[in-house]
Amino acid sequence: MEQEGSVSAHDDEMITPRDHATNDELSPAWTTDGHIDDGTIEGWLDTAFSDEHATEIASHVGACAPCQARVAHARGFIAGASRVVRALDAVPAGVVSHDETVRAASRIIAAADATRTSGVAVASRRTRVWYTQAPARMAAALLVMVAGGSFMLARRSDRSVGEVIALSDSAPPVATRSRDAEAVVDEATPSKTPSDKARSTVMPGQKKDARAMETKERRDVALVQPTTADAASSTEKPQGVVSSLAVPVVAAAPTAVAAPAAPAPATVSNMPLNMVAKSSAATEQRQRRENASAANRLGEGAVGAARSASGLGAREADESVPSRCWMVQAAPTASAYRLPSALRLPETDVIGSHLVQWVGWPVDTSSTTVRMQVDADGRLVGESMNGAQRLELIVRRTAGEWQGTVTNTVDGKRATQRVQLKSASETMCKP
Amino acid sequence: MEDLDRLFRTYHAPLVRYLTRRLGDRDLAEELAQETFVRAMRHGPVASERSWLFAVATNLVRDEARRDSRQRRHLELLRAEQVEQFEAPEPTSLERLQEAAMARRAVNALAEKDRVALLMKEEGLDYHEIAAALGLSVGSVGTTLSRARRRLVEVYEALQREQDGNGTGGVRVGS
Repeated sequence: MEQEGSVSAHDDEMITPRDHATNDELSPAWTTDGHIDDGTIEGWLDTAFSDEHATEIASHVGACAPCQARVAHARGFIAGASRVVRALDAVPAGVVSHDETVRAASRIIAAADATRTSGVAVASRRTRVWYTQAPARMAAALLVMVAGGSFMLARRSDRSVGEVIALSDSAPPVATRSRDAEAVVDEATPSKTPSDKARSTVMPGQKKDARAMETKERRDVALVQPTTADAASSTEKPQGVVSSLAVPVVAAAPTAVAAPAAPAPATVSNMPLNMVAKSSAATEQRQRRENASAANRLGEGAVGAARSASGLGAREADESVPSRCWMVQAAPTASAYRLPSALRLPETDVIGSHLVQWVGWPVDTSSTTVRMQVDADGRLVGESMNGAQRLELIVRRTAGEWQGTVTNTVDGKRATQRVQLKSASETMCKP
Repeated sequence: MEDLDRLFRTYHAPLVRYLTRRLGDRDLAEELAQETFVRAMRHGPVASERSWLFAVATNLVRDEARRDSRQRRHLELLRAEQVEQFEAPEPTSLERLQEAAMARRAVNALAEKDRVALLMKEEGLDYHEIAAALGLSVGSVGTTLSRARRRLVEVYEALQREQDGNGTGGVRVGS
């Protein structure tokens, strides 16, 4: 393959540019069997011919099927070639200074020339150098070695076992340079995390303790935050819900609006997740109701408080920690639930990660928990597996209301039904 | 001097683009474009500016290409190293870079005259200008371009097939 910028032997001729364009007229050329030749087709497509010749060619092409096919091919090649040539433009500029590259290349070439001799020759030259040095230089070198060795030994004796362990997994060999200097640098670097700082400022003998404490901190955090599995197991079989209902309604965040009547008991959400994880089923249900009424009273205030408690902002919600619990409440068919405008949920209510609990739908299912996410299109989507049953919920905010579908798949059979996202209080409505 | 200004303003961008496509190195292309304008300044007025400038630029590319091959190999190595070290100011997607590399292989597979004629045509030179720049007859420009385009597309498609793993045998990219 040719290298960039290379020329083939047969290309190695200089062009003698004319200082004027040729005035030769371009005429169509014909093949011996009466068709226009490839160059003429090319010129015709490139509009290189005079009007008179172009008309002549066009009339032939109009009447000659083989030429039409060749013209079509030529058009394809012109377009394709253009595209390939344009692809050459993806060349970053300002990447490298040419002058600097040339200088560097010269240095490399010189170095390559100097070291062209074999490795053995280089080694022997090195050996010769050591044995032919003046005694004074030898003595100086020895002195440096002894001093360096002493320094290293002295430093090593100061280190505790803990420090050695700490160094061994932080690790690059370079890390054996001045630790004190590193500590000073770390102190001066605001971007260090607290744990980094702690590690860098502890005295050598304390390093192991610091690491142990850090590990313990992480473990404690892990214990406080329940996992999704924990949350799921804790929300099984809530009491007091109607299970013989057909169409689901998504119970949404409680808002500060009086609750209309509902076919099913109020279902709730808006609890901090760790509370859900730690309560028993009965306590949990009671707690939910309490929370629901509290949230209904407090409305957005409660939502804000819940978010604050979990440390989650509206948009900055940590995807891994559900900020809300939602409940999908079984409901009678074709629920004509309408969400009064006053109940419309602010978008921030559903941004983030949520747990949705499915209760008694579509038929005699045990409750399941599904993690809901707001996707890039602003849809709230979630999926739940319950044995062989798979539930998918997708709702989108349309005309101020969260509406969408729930798809239930059992043994490969799918059934989709429309749902509407409701506030918790809305679940008190009758369809 | 005013004339040089006009020449520069009119032809600098297309000339750099042509040279970049020809060389695959925009910095070098800009250097050679400047050298082209310096020569134009020394030469004085010409009737067909565009074809003259493109012809001189093409000759400069050849001069560049004739330099010591060993030095050029080192340059390429260094350039590759430095490209890895420095981030491109305008991020180019990997896909585009791959396409560009494939396009360069395909363009390099063309004969020099075909390649130059095609790049000049893509830069907007007409048949008469290309003929003047390359010392060809006007009648042969169409044939040259037809051959160049066909070959370019065929090689590019073969390279694509090769990359996709559907290639049947190797791709001959030498001209």
